[in-house]
Amino acid sequence: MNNLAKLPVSLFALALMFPVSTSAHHSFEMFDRGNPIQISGEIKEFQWVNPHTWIQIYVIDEMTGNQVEWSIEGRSPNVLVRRGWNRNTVLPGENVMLTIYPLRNGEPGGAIVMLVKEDGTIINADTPTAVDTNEEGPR
Amino acid sequence: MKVVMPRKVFLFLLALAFQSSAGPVFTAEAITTPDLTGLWVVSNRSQRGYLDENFERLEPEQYLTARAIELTENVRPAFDPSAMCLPSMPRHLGGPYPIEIVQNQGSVVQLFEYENVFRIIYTDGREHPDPIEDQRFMGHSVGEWQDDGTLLVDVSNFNGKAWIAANGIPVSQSAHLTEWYRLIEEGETLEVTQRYEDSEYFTRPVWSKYLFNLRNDWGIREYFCAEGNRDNVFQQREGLPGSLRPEDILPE
Repeated sequence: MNNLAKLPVSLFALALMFPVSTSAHHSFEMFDRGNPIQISGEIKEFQWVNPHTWIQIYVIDEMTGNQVEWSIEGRSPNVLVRRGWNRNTVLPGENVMLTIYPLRNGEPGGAIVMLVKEDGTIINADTPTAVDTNEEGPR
Repeated sequence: MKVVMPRKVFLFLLALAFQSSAGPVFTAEAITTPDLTGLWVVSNRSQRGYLDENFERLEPEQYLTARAIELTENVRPAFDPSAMCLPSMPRHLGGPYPIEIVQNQGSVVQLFEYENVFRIIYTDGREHPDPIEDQRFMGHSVGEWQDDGTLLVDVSNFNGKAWIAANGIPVSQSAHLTEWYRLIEEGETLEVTQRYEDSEYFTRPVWSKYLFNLRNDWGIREYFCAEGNRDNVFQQREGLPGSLRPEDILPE
């Protein structure tokens, strides 16, 4: 398993890269979009389900050394598939680093922004919603 | 503008032409009614939100009642009917998921990818049913083709159980939605103008204008919200909670 660190990310850099997320299904206000963080760990499960995909990931808490399961919410399969994802884009057992907007309430969860695989492959998870893929627009 | 004679109309007119006594009767409606059939994806060129009749943005104090403003200040996202997989109009039309339109004689059917729900706009002259007998999340829709090819739609019979958006404002049973559907840009774009009125929460009509791009290279996919909806706080199970909590209130 990787060095499972939880790192703050440059807010300014991310704000430029990833505009504010929106969702049809529910408000994303419970996520702290002003303070994205990075978490690393081993994928337990990638749930390819509506209304939102979920990445279950084991993260070692730096302070306690305990393994904690995080629930990371993503866009729906309907949105992601039109941006090149499929149910095998993230596989159980993979070690990855995720950039997320954490839950404001401090619980181990958040909304995915970006995923970096062990080989360095970067996958942008903060794709635009299912607006026309021929158009640039809000995310 | 794309003008298509529906196949059934063509066959009907053909049959009439072969009758010796009654010559073919070409009605204006039969040959000028546009065909909205196709897969439509909402465009970023849309003018969303709560606008005036000139599509200029309004401040909440200009269109919301005091009660509605109070509701927006204490929104609990977990109690949003949408988070429980319930659909609503006019919210559903705003996307972001595609809408397949199937136009028939007497109706225009909207198949929404989002929530796998449908809506029938009756263009056969029928009226809204008695709301005592028939109330809906999506409202009941009747439409009438105008001489210029615009489909004018009247939506009523809301059940009062949905929100107009994530802002916590209900679509009351008094709500009334008017829509104008019009093909523009050589039939490649569908313009939908909406006027929304609800005397319970709004002090004036508010407008929005959506543009949809024709994307027949796409297909609508399945979307069953209940499949993995952890956001329904009434069904959350220990171990795999969603992100919403009943106590969450939108920050100001």
